[in-house]
Amino acid sequence: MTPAEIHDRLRARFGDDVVALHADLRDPAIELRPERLRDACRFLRDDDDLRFDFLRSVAGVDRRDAIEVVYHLLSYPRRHTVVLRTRLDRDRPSVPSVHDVWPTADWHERETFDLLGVDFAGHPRLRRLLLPEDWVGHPLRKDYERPAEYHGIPVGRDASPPVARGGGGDRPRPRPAMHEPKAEELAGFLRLNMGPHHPATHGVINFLLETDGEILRRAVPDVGYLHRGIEKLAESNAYLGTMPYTDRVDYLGAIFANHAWALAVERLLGIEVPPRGEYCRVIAAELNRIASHLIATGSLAMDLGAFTPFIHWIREREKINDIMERICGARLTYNYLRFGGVARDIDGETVDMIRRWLDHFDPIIDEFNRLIGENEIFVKRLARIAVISPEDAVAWGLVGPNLRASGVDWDLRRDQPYSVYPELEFDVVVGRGWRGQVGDAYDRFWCRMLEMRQSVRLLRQACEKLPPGDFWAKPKTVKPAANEVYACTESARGELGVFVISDGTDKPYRAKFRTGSFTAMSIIERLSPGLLLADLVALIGSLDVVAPEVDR
Amino acid sequence: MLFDFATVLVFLFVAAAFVGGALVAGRFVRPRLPDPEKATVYECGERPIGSAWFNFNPRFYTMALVFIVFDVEIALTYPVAVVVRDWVRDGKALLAVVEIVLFLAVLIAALAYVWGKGHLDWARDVDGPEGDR
Amino acid sequence: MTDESRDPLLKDGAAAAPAGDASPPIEAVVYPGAIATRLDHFLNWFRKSSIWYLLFATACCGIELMQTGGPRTDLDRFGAVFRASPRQSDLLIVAGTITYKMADRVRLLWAQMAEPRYVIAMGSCANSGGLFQRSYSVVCGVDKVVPVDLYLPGCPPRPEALNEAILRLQEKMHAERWAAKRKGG
Repeated sequence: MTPAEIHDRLRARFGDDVVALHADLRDPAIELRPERLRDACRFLRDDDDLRFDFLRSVAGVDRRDAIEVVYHLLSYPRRHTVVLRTRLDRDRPSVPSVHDVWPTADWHERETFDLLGVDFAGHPRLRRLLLPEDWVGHPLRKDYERPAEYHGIPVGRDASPPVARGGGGDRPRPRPAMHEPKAEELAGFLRLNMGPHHPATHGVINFLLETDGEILRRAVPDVGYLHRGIEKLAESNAYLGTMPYTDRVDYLGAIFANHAWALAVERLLGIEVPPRGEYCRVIAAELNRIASHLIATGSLAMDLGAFTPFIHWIREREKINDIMERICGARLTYNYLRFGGVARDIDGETVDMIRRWLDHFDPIIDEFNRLIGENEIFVKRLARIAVISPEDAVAWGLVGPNLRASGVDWDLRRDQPYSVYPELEFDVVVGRGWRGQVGDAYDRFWCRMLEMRQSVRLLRQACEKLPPGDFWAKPKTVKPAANEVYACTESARGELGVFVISDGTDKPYRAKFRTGSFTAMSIIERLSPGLLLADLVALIGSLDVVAPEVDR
Repeated sequence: MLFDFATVLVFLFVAAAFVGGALVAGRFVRPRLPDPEKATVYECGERPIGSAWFNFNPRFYTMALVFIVFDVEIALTYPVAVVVRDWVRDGKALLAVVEIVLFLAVLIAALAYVWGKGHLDWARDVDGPEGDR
Repeated sequence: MTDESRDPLLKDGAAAAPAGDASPPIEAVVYPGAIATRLDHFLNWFRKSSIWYLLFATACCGIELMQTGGPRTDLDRFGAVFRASPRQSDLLIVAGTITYKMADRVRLLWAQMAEPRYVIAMGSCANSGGLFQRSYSVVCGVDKVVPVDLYLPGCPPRPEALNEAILRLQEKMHAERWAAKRKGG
């Protein structure tokens, strides 16, 4: 259904509470009154023709005269999307929470509260998510001012150079007020911090565990230790200047973040990418997917105690790093894509290098499986652990291999195609309960292994079909007219989406990144009761969570 | 045989001297800078929540006790194999068998009780927040 | 040994080390010159050949840290292995951006390491905030929270660069004097 039809359906049901349809936008948005938002959302989810079961993203926007909350929805069964928005009073923004319609809204709303100060009425535990509990202010507001210092550490770049320069004699710096323990009283259960400094949490993530011996009653993720304010920084950079920041949104899948950003801005500008540029993008993306899955599967094995497979994968990753270095000059944070193409060409020698490496890599996957993938202890650690049903996966906003391992057959490259994926042949790997149950940790692991093989297949085809011609159709200026767009790519961790609002200048008005690890993290609390501590490690590893995606 | 024990004594002295020497040498070589912050408990960079002295589930104790009992049982059963040869030579084989079987039977009865009562299940009564596992 | 007098967070703002001096030891045990220098060489050789670093990574530099520990640029051949606990580590490689939320924890981790301890600020973010300098939640350089021995530029630094940093740290450790009398008293 088109947005206009959905709008008519809503109007028929809710009358004047559906304020307007902004049809002139690149992604038309339906504006609703805040009071009826939850009912409208429930209707959108339950109506048979609409069936919007996936809340993609919740973005708060400070429009200077009001605060707006924008909801992006997707329907897996009906394959259509819609954008809802609602305007709130700037001084006391309040809207009903939709966490009972889509559980994934829990964290999205907490983030919007944290960064914009929007109150979500009815939310079970509305508190800050990314910033520390005692932070003052809501940074994504346009009139936000940084505090002078936080816990004794001065804020800002020009504030007090370090004493270590040999200067000495500077004013004595107070010791920071050390972080106080979070106090709650309950007898009989051990309250532990797992993280932020922990090898198994895949980055700086903290879990507050309540354990009875080694069985968890609850594991509450505490995130934000790597919140770097990328979305706010994007508002003060030119569009291309944000490209390196997108590398850091997901450093293991930098090309995907680059791609999502490039797609969004290209749609705003209305420009096309030449075929060679598209193929270069696909080659870089699939190489990046393999590199990311190497880390994902390798570190899962390492977390479970098997160190050798991880080192094998590091060795293979070095070879991919060499190829990527030839392609774009960097080993990790590529900054490869540009609006209208890619920054540098992939020449014939590089293609040969890729082909040789692919021939080398295929048997290596088998070696890895003999080493660990089919190892009985490894299978026992993962099979039937933390099973996620397909309904839960969709409701909690899981994407990518996590979603497919639970049995939901959805891959953006095939179902919302972009770039030249329609011209390439590949299979979408869906979980089948290979060693246990559909949606268990082993399925999530095995999905990634099989996806690597599919990426090899895609790479072979892309290298074959790489057309001659231009690789970058550079636009004259990057100053898109006022518009709003949502673009997403299938990253190694699932849907990496970018919602951009442009205002006619050379800097975006608002950029919101929607990442797979963010929602994957949110489901951990739900799955944790009854898990052993060791199973929690397996769960975190199998979800392939990376901290920068969660925190941005 | 007494001389063999002297070897053990020398071993003990050397081990003690090795350890002691390393510790003494360290005392003179290393810096000594006690600091209250350094002495805090390491919990992944965070301050610990509450105290670690609280009511642990008694199953840790039960498991440890059961393990000790059966470990000692094994430890006591092994020497029987050495001694029983002398008994067999003296014609008291049946007595040896009866004795060891009685010994094991008492402990098997204990095992049956512990097993049947469910004390060998690690997680018997764990409530998640919803009240079930 | 990190010059603790350069600790940015000392309550009474300690005096700086005089320029050009290798970090003066906290405890200087005085022995006759010839023995002392040899003793120092001996001790330093042990210490620099077995630098155990704390596995501490926040962001992208952490991946390059992992790659440096991998087979190609093997840190293990310098005796440098990673440890998960600060109690067992000599070196804190701050790999990645430090946010205000994380700054307290870095400080605590560093404080929980036993002397002699060293800090390498790896990458632009740890050196100065990097490309996140203008962000509201990023500490512009980890040297605002812990005293740093070595600044390693890069975004992220190549494994070879981190390798070089470890070697420079070894040189620094070699130049330390424990048993020898300090020049000039």
